[in-house]
Amino acid sequence: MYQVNTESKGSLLSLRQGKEKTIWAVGGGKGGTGKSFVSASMAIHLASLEKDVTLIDADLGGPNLHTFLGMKDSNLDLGDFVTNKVPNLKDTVILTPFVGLKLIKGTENVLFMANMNYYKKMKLIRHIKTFDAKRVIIDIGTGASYNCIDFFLLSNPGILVVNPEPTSIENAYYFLKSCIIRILKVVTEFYGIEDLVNKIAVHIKDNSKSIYTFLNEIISHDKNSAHILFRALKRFNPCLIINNARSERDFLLGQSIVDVVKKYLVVDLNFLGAIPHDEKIHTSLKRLTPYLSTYPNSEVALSIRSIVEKLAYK
Amino acid sequence: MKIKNVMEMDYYELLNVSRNSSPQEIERAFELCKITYERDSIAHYSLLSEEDRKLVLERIEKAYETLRDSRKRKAYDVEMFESKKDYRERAFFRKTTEKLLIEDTTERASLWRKIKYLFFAPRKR
Repeated sequence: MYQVNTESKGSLLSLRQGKEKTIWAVGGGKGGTGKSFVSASMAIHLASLEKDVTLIDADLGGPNLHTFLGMKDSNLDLGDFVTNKVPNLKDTVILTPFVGLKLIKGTENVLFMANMNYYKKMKLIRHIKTFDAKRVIIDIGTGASYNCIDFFLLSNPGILVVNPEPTSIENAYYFLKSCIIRILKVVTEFYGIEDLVNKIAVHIKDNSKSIYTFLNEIISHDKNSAHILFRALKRFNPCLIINNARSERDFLLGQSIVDVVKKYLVVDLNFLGAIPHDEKIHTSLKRLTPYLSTYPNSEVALSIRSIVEKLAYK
Repeated sequence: MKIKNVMEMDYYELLNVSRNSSPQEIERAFELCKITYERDSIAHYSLLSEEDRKLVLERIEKAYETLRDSRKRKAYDVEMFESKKDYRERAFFRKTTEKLLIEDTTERASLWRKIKYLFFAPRKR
């Protein structure tokens, strides 16, 4: 039986004292790349190390994290918070079978959550930022909508999960370009340099390969503004995981993608590692048993542990 | 400040190696770049046109040809870096120029350089 977590005031106080909280958002654009599996598995392992991890299922169109954790019961979920049935995000937290791991389920009852409006999204983001947990992992789901991108940019860092397939890579690049444009838009609005940027913005919209052209034209008009935009981009350092790797070439693909993105999108990607393909993942899912518990010594489990430790303790 | 595109990058940036990389590191970096930008690679799918891919691969091959040969590499270093004015200026505060790395200075480093100039003006040669 699972209970809503009623955390003591002490942890809120520790947040105010500057205790660092990390938020990892797992996305990638294409559906079926294993984002939910990776999110759930990373959360399970991290909770075994840190004992204070909250997993949030922000896949608004298709929440599944509770299934990956082997939890079937209905509880309060994200939909209840977004529709104001509960006032605070922490009221939707539920305990999981794993010590130290809590879950905020995606909604099963509120339809069209994927079409969440701007104000509800900002309310959710505000609550996530001030949420009382040392580590938060968010599964942002599929696509490159404003909602997905804003959840991804909320994190430190965001994690792209990509399969070694052209379709997945194509969508990942589209997702990254969308993030870049979103960052530039937010920064230009904040610093009030929209007019300058709008004059040159046609380059970005028509041909998003010309990020260099765009930034260099800004430099020629206004060096300070260009510096601001460039530094904002340089602070965007997402991570990359290759899932379902089958061959040696698939394992090298991550470094290749890092090189391409650095040269052509002005973004420093951090390759965390590759997770090998394993049919037993699907078998575990069908049986509603978490893979990491059932096969703790498999190559997949070892990869996930290595990725989590690299990210958490780099 | 200038944002470099691929055609403006120097050979070290192209291969993603540092200026004091060993020949083995350069070889490994070249192998990875070759796999990344070869025709059948999916790493550049949807981001690079065929023309862009061929251009970058040509440059990478040229970079490797230069950097794998110690004589050509030395000549390239002199041409690209050591003959440049700002290389000599930064060298004033170092014991040996062999350890100097050419890279874009951070704002803090530029500020520190300005402070140093106030107290330790460079000697004219």
